[in-house]
Amino acid sequence: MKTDYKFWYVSRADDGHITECAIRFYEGDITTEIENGVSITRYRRTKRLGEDNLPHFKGRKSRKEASGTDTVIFTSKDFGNIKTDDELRLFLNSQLKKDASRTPIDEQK
Amino acid sequence: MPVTTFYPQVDPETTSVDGRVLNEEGAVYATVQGAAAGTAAPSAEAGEVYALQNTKTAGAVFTVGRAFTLFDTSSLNNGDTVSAATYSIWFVVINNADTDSVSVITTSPASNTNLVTDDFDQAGTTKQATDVALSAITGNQYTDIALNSTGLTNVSLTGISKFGMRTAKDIAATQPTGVNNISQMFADTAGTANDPKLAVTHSLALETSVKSITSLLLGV
Repeated sequence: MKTDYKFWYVSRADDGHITECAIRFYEGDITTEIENGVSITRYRRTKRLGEDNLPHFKGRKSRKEASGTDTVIFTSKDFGNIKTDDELRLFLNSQLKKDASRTPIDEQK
Repeated sequence: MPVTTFYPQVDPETTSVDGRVLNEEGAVYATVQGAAAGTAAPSAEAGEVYALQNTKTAGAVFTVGRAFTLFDTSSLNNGDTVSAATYSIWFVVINNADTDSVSVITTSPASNTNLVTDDFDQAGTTKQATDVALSAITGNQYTDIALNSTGLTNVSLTGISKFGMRTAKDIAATQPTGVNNISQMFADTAGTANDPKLAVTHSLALETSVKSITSLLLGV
């Protein structure tokens, strides 16, 4: 099984430092399906991952989306003083690696 | 002031979808452009796709395409003041036979979490930003579009902000003479470097209250 993450939101303070981000984690696999009449092989997400599936996130702060789903929150206490999305991605990639049962997609290794 | 950047959700969505609704290959432009329903409504595509279209192709067939981008902005505080917002799309390839433009509009799909062909006529006509000429867009990078005062009022502080795009000549129902379309990335693409995004500059409700109290105390 593979895994990846997507941003819900990223908040920055006046000085541009990232203060908080809400991240959605997923499980999926490389599959081949017909899309618009063409056979396409790519990563497809099959399941949203939460505390139940990601033990290393147990007890983490979360925020409810409009739908009521809990989404994992990270703050500067977790990732330090960073400003750019690339710096945030480096941190989040390191979080993906903690999931021993799944392999991060190539874009997030 | 703080800036919070929001992103649409990937498939399977529970809050906010993004994708495109197309009405493809009709013989009469007015019928294609003015239809209540389209012919396709993909919302789980990865990689480069053509969403915005106002196109005439060989054989005099017409295609009109509209983009839908919904953002769950419910993490903003009800009472925050939105002072600016930037809508950003990663465009790729531009075809511009008729000197067309991108218009940011609001959308009202039947569901916040899926698109259907009946959503074709649920892309509005009121401009939420100054139009961006296709000739001014550079492919393979973000195009940042500042929302106007109307657009700012459509950033929801409690739920889903529903924006999208049409070509300006689609909104004006101007029959195309050639290919006018632009490809882009949606949120289902792997990674996080090309997703649609909405960056909202907002003052916190508490911060506004503190400033008001301070002003009262200081008499300014």
